[in-house]
Amino acid sequence: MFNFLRKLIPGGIHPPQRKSLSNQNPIQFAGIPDRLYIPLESNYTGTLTLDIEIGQTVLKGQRLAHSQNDDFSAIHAPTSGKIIEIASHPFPHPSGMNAQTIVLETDGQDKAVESLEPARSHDDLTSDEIITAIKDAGIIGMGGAGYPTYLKTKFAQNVETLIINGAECEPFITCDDRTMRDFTDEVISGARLLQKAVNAQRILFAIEDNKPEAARILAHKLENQNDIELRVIETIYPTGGQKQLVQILFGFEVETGKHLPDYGLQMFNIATARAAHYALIEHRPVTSRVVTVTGENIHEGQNFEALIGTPFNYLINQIAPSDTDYSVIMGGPMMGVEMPNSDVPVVKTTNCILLKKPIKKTPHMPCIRCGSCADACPMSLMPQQMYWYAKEGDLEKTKDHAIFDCIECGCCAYVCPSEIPLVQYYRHAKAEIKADDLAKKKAEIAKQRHEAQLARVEAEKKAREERLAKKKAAVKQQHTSDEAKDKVAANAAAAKARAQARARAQIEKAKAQETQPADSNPPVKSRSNKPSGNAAAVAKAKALAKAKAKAKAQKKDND
Amino acid sequence: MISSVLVIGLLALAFGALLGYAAIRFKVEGNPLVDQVDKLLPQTQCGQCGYAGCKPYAEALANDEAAINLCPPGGEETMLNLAELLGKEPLALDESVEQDPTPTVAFIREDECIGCVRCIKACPVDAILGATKMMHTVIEHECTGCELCVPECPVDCIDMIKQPETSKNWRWDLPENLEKEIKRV
Ligand code: SF4
Ligand code: SF4
Repeated sequence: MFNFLRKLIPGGIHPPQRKSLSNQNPIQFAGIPDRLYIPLESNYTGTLTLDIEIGQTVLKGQRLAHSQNDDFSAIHAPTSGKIIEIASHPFPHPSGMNAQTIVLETDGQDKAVESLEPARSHDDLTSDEIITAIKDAGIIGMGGAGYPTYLKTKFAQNVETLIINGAECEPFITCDDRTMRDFTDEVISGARLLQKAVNAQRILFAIEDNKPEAARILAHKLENQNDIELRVIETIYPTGGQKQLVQILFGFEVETGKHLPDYGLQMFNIATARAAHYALIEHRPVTSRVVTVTGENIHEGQNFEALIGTPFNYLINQIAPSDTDYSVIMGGPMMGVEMPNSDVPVVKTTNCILLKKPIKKTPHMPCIRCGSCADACPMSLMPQQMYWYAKEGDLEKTKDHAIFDCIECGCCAYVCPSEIPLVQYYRHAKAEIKADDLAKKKAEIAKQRHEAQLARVEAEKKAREERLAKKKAAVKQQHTSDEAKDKVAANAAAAKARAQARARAQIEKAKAQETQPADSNPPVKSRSNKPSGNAAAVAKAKALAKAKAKAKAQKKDND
Repeated sequence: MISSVLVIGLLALAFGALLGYAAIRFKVEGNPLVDQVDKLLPQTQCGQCGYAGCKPYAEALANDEAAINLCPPGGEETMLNLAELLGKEPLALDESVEQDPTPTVAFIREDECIGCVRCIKACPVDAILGATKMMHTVIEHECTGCELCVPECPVDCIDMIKQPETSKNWRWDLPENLEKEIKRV
């Protein structure tokens, strides 16, 4: 009970909630736009392989593309229609760049692929089946991170507690709130499936106390299920962050470099749980999601069930904002990113479309070293130091200040009296560090390849030389063996005679030279050789070869 | 007196022996500085420094035989890193060196390639595939952009192509305008 007195996480802020702007009405189906734009790129997609061709008609739920390396998620047709184009189109990314995009002209029929398998129930499913189905259905973290759920389930086996994250701490966003209210059974069913997938002993539902209605409905539905606990937590931004939520629920800090499974935990967003329910029980891959459309000047925001690929403006038009001068943010006011325009499509991670007054790019004031940012940081970092170093480009120092622990929650920028866009500095520094690391890796590979190339050239050279030497030897041998066959004896005799004659001649010559005092060559060597030369001459028969060699050497000396 | 001389003498001998042993036992092969320097170089292997590759340049640097500003692909950053490691004054990069940080890769116009294998021999990282009289192609992600193959081609069919920026290699920029100048009175 003293939990209320204790500060649950360091830092954190209390920005105005503005949730009632959009959580008043139940989720509405947004409708089928004429065209859907399905980008072939996302945070974690490797190279995708297309399963369809241009001009092909597809049914709802038909697979459009899958990942080659098996680890990343597949993409499915959100409704029936015809693939008219695969072209470069704006997509939700902070760069404002385009991505290769499948353009689907819808036919309004919404005809689905007929599943061959019957609807399943929880009891017939094994952990492996669930994990495979999650992968095939293209489920990714729908809270916003977009990490493949398949990987998260695969690498978290036999955890103690499965946390279902319904904190939804960011202002304005209400899609999870409404999902928990309007699709309570699906969410609970999905949570059960995920529990089975990771063999968790129990489930912990976490929800902020600013969603009393959702908490009430959930509490009611969970009444008789004693391995599911509902925990209503205090509203502080950012309780929904993975590390923050664990700290609030369990009172310990997740260390840098560690993951939840290391502590016997795993966490999924409620929207991910709902998607798991559809994938497994109804054989329906991810083809739509709930998106909050709201904004500062919007009187009545709305949560839509929107098909993946629905252009933002298709949804924005439905709430008819009176003021048309706005910038479009994907995500909330704290962590969202500005979109280049409202043509970008809804993707699996689009939780909110926020219309904001155009952000004026005015210069910010200098840092006054007030320290407010450090007080607000939920990760207990030193935002001010990181800012200085990021600005100076001292990447090593930003790393020393644990910049990669920063969750980019924006608390520091929110409280900064100088209105410094701190998070952008951190994002910049992180991107530079990552690019540097990549360059280093590439250089290392290039070095290895260069060394391998040098070794190859060297080896080839050696091989060539060896081959040549062998050939020479072979030719020589051929020669000698041919002659040897018929004239071994004659040859030997002749050679002997020749050698003897030569040796004799040499010795004669050496002697003659010795008697010439005016010889330019130093006579020392000749003299020293003389006895052996003489000896050789005396014992010719004994060491013919030796004498020959020496005589030869002498000849060289004399020449 | 004698005993102290003896003791000191013995100690000196003992340590001398120890050091001698250590020098042999823990001998470092080659010059460790070369490897450190080599780590800082971009490993493009382009030879624009005037040496036969990154390692030879690293050797020259370690032996204090080369200036630190000769590596164009590394640019200013590499020069500064070298200055720091070798304890030298930073030098301006050579004027003749044009600086364009956009990475490039070689691209062979395959229909023009006559299959002469000269570029294959020139490539320091074996990034070109092909055989005699067969069209050649560049393994893009292995190419360091050193341009050594370009002059080798007798029919000039190799282009250096700038790597486009995509959403995958895009990086967050610093905020546009840093700070308001505070006017002092
Ligand atoms: S809150 Fe802003 S002004 Fe204050 S120390 Fe942090 S960065 Fe500087
Ligand atoms: S954005 Fe990073 S530095 Fe700023 S408060 Fe959040 S975690 Fe701390």
